[in-house]
Amino acid sequence: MNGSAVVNPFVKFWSAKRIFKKGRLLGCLVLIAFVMAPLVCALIFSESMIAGITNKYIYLSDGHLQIQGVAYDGLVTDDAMVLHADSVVSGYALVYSSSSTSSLLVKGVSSDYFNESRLSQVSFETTDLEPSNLKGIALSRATASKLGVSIGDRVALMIVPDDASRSPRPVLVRVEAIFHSGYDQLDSMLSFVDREYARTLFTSSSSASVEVLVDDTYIERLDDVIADLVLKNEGLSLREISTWNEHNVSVYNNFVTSKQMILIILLIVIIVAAFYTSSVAQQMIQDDMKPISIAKLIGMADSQVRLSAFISVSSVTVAGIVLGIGLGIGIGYGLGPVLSALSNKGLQSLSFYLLDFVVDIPWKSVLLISVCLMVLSTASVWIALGKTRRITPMRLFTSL
Amino acid sequence: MHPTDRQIGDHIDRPFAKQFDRPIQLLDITKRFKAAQDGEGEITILEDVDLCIARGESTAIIGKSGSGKSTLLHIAGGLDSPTSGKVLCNGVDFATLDDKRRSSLRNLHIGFIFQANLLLEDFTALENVMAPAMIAGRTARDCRPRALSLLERLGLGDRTHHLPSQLSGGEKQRIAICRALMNEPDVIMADEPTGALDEENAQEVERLLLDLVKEEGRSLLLVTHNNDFAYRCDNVYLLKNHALSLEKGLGLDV
Repeated sequence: MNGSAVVNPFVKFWSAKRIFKKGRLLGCLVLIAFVMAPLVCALIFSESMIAGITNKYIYLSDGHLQIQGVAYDGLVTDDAMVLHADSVVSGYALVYSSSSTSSLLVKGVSSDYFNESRLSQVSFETTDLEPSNLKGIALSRATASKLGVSIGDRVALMIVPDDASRSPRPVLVRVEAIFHSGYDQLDSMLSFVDREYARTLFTSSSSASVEVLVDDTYIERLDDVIADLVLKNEGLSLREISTWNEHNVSVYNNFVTSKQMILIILLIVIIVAAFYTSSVAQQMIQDDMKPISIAKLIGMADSQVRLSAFISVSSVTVAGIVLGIGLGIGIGYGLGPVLSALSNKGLQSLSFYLLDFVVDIPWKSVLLISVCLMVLSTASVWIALGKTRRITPMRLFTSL
Repeated sequence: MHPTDRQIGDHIDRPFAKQFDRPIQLLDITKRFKAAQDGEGEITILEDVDLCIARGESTAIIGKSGSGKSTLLHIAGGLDSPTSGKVLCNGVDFATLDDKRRSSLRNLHIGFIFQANLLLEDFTALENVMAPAMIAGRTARDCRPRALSLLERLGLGDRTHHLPSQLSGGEKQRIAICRALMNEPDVIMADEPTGALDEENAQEVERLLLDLVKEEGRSLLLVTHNNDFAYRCDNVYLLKNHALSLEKGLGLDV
């Protein structure tokens, strides 16, 4: 055998001929592409949406890290690790309007809290208002809609005091801004007031915290950041610092479960697709009984016959996967603006979903499902092609 | 030797390249079939048959239908296994080889022609002729000149890119002859090669087959019930009562 020819020339030739001649194989290519496209699309949406929701929680609610009960003053950070460390005073309150009530987390933040990173996650509507003695509050569009208020309207905050000896007291505030992050589930729980004003509403030391935003390169290394903070700040202990997922255990667990469920569903679909590929290979062998017998008659070894059929089916599978990934990514990007428009319509049925997110291709996951499909279909096709061993040239004469 | 044929020898692992005076030897061949699928009885087709095919000679096997001529050819070509006995191809016992080496032996040393032409329907005439050489490891580019030359010699120069379905029975059979000769095998085994053709085409194919086999210096093992065709060969054996008897020529002792 020619050392330079890894695959026998006839094996290559017959494999290529099959791909272009067999409608069944082209059908297989289309089916794999149509299986892969929604899988990739589903992956893009689930992972992008989860990443988007996570960002909403991190930037608007908790930060990457949260240091409980510590005032901002004096917190020493490493600039390479920590982008922002914002002191926040927060507590729960009931909000009353003339027509409705809502329970909210009232966050007291400083004027530089909404830095560039946070403003990329939320948009604010404001208008010029007449000066007033009332303090201002920023409500989410979802809450404002529920309460039936708009900018300039007054609402009452009923603060539940930390000290049991004090009775609840209502305070009037004026809606000065309406924000919208695109994720109503979170928006409907949040409101923002000035931090100094919040200090007067929530006096307990446990109301104070520091939200820490970490540089992108350290997001996967939060333990290092925590260790650095503890090292640099005397008196700061590990138990005072929590990560966003420790702070939002149920949300985080939901994400993990969702990801696992999506992965299981994808694997089931992949197994079905691999099974289909192997059945196509079997059918192809069934169709090619006579040509295979003839090829064996003129000297083709069973291993070459098997390899030829394998190359045909595998090439089609790979082409289907690549086409499917391309389609899935195309659809993913194309539907992004559509979902964003739906999000802006504020449809009630979609309020639990984050629709306005940055489409990010999860290459690792796409690669994982592609490899899974390739490996499973390769293995099942190779096993299915074992049938060729039973096809002998004598079949030509016994069936004549 | 044709230069392209030397290339075959250089190009591929030719494990049985040693030239034998008797490229095919059948020693004490017995073939029995079960009477029915679940039956216990056996039908004897061949009993202690010996046959030698000499290099460059043509040998015909004649006999009545059902006498076992085709079975004998299948066994001689390594397509079927005898119940007992040995089949040697260039001195190598088929029974000792695995599928890969048996296939290689068949590919390089034996060319088959059958009544039904058994061409690959999706392949053009040229591709069908090139197939054995490509299976042997040669590229299409390398084996194309010899394939074209064979097709030209058999009057199919203008049919190279036709599919078998676009050709007549006689043309298909001529392509099968080209394919059988492509790798310059030691032996051509032909089973009723003109059985499905009209008289005119049959005579043409007979003439071409015998002439080409002589020209190329190949041995021919022909199975036919056409005595006229058979008696144009050097040796003629009659297969009767499971055994061979020499009817023409000198034959060869095993």
